[in-house]
Amino acid sequence: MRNRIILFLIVSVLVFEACQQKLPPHIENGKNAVMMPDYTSISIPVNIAPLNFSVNEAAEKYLVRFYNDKNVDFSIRSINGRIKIPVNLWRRLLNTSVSHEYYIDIYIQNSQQWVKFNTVSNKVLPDSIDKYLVYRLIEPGFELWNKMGIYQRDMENFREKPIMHNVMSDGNCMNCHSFNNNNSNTMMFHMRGPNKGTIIFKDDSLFKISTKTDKTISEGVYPAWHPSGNYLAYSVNNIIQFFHSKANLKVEVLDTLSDIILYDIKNNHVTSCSSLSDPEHLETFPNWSPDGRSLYYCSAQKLKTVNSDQIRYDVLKIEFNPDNATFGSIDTVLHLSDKGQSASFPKISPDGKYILFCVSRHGNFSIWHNESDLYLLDLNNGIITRPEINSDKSESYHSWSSTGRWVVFSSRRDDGLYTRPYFAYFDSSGKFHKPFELPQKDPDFYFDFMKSYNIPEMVTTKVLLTPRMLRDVTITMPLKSTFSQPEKE
Amino acid sequence: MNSKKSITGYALTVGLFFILLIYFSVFKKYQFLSQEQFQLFLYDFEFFSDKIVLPGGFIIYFGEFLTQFFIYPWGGPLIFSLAVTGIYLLTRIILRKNNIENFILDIFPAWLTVIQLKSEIYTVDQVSGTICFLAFFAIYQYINNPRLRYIFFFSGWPALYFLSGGYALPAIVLCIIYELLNNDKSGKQIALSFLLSGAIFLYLFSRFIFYVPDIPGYLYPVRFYKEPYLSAAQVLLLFWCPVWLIVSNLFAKRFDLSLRWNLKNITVSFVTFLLMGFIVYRYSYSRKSELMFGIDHYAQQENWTKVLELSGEYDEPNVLVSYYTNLALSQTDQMFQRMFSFPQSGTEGLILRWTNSFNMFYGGIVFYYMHYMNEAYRWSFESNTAIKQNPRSMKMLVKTSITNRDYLIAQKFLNQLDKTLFYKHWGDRYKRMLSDTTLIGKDVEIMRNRSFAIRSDFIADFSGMNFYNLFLNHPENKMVYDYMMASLLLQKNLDEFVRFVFGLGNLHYKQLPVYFEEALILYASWNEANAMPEGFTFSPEIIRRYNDYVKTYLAYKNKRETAAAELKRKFKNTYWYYFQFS
Repeated sequence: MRNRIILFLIVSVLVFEACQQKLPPHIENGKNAVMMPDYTSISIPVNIAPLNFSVNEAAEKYLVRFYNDKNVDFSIRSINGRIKIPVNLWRRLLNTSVSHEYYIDIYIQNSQQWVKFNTVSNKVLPDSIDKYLVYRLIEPGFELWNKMGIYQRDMENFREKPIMHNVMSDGNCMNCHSFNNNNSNTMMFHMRGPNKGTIIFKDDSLFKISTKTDKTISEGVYPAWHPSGNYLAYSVNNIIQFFHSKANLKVEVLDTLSDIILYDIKNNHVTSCSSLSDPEHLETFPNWSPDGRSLYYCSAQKLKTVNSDQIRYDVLKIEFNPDNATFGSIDTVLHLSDKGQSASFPKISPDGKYILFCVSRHGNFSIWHNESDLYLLDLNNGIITRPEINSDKSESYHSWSSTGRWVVFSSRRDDGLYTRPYFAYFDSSGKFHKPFELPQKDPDFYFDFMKSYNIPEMVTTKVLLTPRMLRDVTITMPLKSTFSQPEKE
Repeated sequence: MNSKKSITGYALTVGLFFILLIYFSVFKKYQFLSQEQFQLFLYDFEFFSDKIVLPGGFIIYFGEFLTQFFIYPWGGPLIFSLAVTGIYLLTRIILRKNNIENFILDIFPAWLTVIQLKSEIYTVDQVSGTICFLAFFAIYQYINNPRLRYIFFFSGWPALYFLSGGYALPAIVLCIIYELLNNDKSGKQIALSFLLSGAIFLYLFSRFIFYVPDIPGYLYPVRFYKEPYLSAAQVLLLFWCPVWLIVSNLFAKRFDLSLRWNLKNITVSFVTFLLMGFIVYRYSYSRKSELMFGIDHYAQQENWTKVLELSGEYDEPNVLVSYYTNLALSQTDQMFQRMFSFPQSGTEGLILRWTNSFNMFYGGIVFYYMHYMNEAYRWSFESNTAIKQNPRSMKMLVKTSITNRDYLIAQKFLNQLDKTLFYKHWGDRYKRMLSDTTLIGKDVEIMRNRSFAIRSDFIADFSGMNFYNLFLNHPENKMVYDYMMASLLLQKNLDEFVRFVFGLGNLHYKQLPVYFEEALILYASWNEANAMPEGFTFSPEIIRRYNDYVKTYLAYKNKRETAAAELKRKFKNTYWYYFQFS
């Protein structure tokens, strides 16, 4: 403890020293410094945690100056290029830069000569981001796992807490956590393997259900909460995967069968309709419109043989009457299959004006498709754009913040394998700003971290569940759902 | 007298240490080397914090720290000899305090520890846990001042549980028994307070520190085994001292449990010690397991001669042994000269089945030698995930990723190896390549892998038997061809064998390999068709031997068992014998 206090004092003095230091005489090289993660020319929310980074330039010493037009000005020295920004200084910088920019000057010293790179300017936006990000951490493997858990991370600092960890559930797999309208008090996730079932947390009660009936293909898979919180739409899928042999390809995951079901939470009842369980089509990835009167989903023509590179999904919409839980007519929203493209994960913005979705060459498991990118459909004019938030690697699962001003998406741009959460601002004119990676306390965190961030979902408040609280419900037998198919529509 | 006693004590301790060292060095060498291969100790806070979410995570961490030194052939034997000798010494200290001076009783827990080493999952953390609780109690009972003793318990036991998890539970039993037996005044109250405080501590630990999913979870990381006698040894080890504490107290007046060093007792002790040694050799040592670990060890070193030497000693079919034997034969170009001289296990002895994590751990290497990078990568990645990070999978991931031009991913695996003591320099060569990719072009191994890169994509077969697709991609890939033909021989599929025998032409065989000749002559004789590829003929020797085989067979035509025995004597290493009788 004593050592810690001494260490703290030394660090504090050093940081204070660093913050007070005058800038050294230098020359300007007119180049952009390589910064990892890339936190240049980005737009960030005022409440984000410090964007620590490493300067990826060879040097003996590093000096980084942060400043804005409101006279906040501090600098940090480093001998290894790792820049950790003190929280209090960072807060002051952001709070005084709202709706404006803050600047970063990077200096490096080699052979007694200081060199300055081009100034970086980032914009601080008044639109706060939802306070918590929830994700699953898992190795980006093929079929197997060992330890895995669903975690929540406070976006305003670096605190990460597990919501569920499989050491408390006999090492089983868990997936597809989902929230209703970014509300942490209405949550669900699936347990697979020996403790299989769906855990639902709603109105302060916690229960486990099984949505598999003898009339449905499987347990519920990809979920979507109805905005009322009374229903959950699920895809039910028969999923297979296989492995490529060519160097640039790895895994293919596809559905041989898939339908969409509706789960009525109050009555523990599963239903569907012929349009959503068409034997000639594969229906998946349900997502509700904000008014709860339409269900968007992906649909592909079912092929007679398993030919993965020929399966292509379009985005469809079906009307829904929440009063009697019945579906109506279908409409095609996006017809991509005839263009040799396939859509997945259609997500409607909270204002109902846009759909953000993934496009890949075929299939629906976009994370294993390097070519997968995010696209935006403006529902008012039907114009599809490819926002400049994509990379040459896979962009996949994404979700909107509660305000609709922020989007988080999974990207493999760092190294091509490990999925990382990136955030992008979506402004009122319908444009995305350059995305930034989830900040970490250790600037080199992503360099070493051997797990993928899976299904990033933003929630406004802390999830109150913990692995210890969830232990009992995970080992209980699930409540079996009943099923009925409505009379011919 | 006392100095005589202590000299005897030292001599016994040193003697035991050396006996253990010799035993472990000779009989357990490869098992320890293998244990090292199943883990990768990282000098990294995350590695540590990941361990301590469960009770006893600290001794697991400490155990893995020590296990990294098993990379040296002396590491495992030395560390285990010290640890087991430590158990002996602590037991001696505990029993002496209770007026029992008995070499056999002292050595029993050490013996039970050695017995458990039959199981490869008996690792250093287990022996560390035993040492922790024995040491705790040894200190406890030597504190004469009751207050200090209680302070030691109430402050030390939570620390012990934090460090050693379930191994702290026998310590609480020992302390309770000690107080009940030695504290006339308030023994019962103290024992009860120990019991209650233990339960409270366990609750608090499970509530705030560790993840304890259920009641058995409190025992973690105490291990029990599939084999009942090993589990019995574990239970006996945990409760050895408590039992003798009670016995010594109850019967001390009637029986003297101490052994005086006279001729009779020395003889009895010596004979008992020999009997213990015999039991260890008979029930705790498995020559076959040791051979298997040895074969795996030499395969990793690419010492194929040694692999074949050890597999020659393994005289019955074993999938893993066949797998490495065939790999060694292939790497030394002896596949079709010698493969039937070794017991074969069917096609599983070529490619391990994707059935469990251990097969994934061992099974990726064959794909690498075939230059089938995606499968080598997949098996290694899965093994690295499902078992835990381990050096061989990590190294394979680096090499396959560089071959596949996934440089950033390769860098990631190298970063992990960088955090180890013994593997960080292994990666130097590859780190240089990644910082200057032109060096890759000069690396023979990587470039050779790339020259066999898959051109026409295909889907990996569940059984891993993609020889045909690999052959179509690269007919000049000799290992793939050899494995494909070997699989057909093992399946006794001579029609397909004959269909692909033309492939020899791509591989510049000057002479027909023995088993090819044997298979082809068998096919020719059964089908009355000549399938000999162009440019080759049967050697007069093979014709003579085949005629001899047929003659012998026909002589016992109606007596299959006699024919098998007679043919085994003369032709057991031939394909003909395998074809007819395996």
